[in-house]
Amino acid sequence: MAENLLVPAIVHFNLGSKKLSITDYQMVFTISNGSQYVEAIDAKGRRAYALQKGGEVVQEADAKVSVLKTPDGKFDDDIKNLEQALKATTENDPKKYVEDMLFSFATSDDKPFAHVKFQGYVSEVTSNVDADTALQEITADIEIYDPTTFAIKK
Amino acid sequence: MKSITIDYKHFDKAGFDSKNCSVADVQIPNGRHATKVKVYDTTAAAPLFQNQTNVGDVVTFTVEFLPFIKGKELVSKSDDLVQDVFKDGYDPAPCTICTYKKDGSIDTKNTINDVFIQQVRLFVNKKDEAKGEMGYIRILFTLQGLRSKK
Repeated sequence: MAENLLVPAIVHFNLGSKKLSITDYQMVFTISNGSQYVEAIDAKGRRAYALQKGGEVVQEADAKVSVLKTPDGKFDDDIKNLEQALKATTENDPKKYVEDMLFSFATSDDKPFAHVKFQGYVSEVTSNVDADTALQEITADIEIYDPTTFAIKK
Repeated sequence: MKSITIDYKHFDKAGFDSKNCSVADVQIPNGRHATKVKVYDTTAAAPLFQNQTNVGDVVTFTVEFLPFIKGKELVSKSDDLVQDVFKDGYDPAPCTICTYKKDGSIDTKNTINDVFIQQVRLFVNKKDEAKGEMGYIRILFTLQGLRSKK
């Protein structure tokens, strides 16, 4: 059963105009429409329910991307980009640190099947040692800045 | 062999069927009807407990899908399903969840009326920490409906 499940073999990540090669990722995207049933009592004392539609669609992202710091320094530029993006958030002007984020999920033949894009920023950069390879791994947390820009496309 | 099926108009329309995905987890809405209430009777020393059927009929439950390679569009479709609620003429539909015995006969059957989709969560992880294999995409829907009156 596990063989035919949809696994994103390749994940592309773009931070602004830069393309970063990421080695690990953990993402949870939550999209809710804020709608719910409201209870009311009718004239005969019975319960009646009405669907109250929410005012807006709320998108939340809990995304972490990691870059492995390899001894050959191949991904050092990517790490630098993430750290620069974090440093930029000290600016007061959102225009200076909010970037277009794009995740593209592709199958093993590199055909993307879904794109998740939004305007966001890097909120935290941490590093830890990867248990399998004993190499340092830089992990960046990404937040959505403007939920209206969030879109999932084919 | 199927052990659980979900029959829901909006899922069927978007392509969430056995060809495109499998059902990973369903939280079958329970049939809670009564709550306990304390009633103080001034003539008796101890409080009396009475069952009250004052629990509302709204049930919230979750359904989790694992899309197959064939069901690539389901990722973007799930976003549409949440947005569709705002469309004019959106009608909540009944949702039937069936579980099956080993011989294929229906074990339990649950129907919830007027179900709409409230939320979707997409989980994308490189590694499945628990199993140590490549992580597959998981789509978790939160739905809300009204319990059918028995």
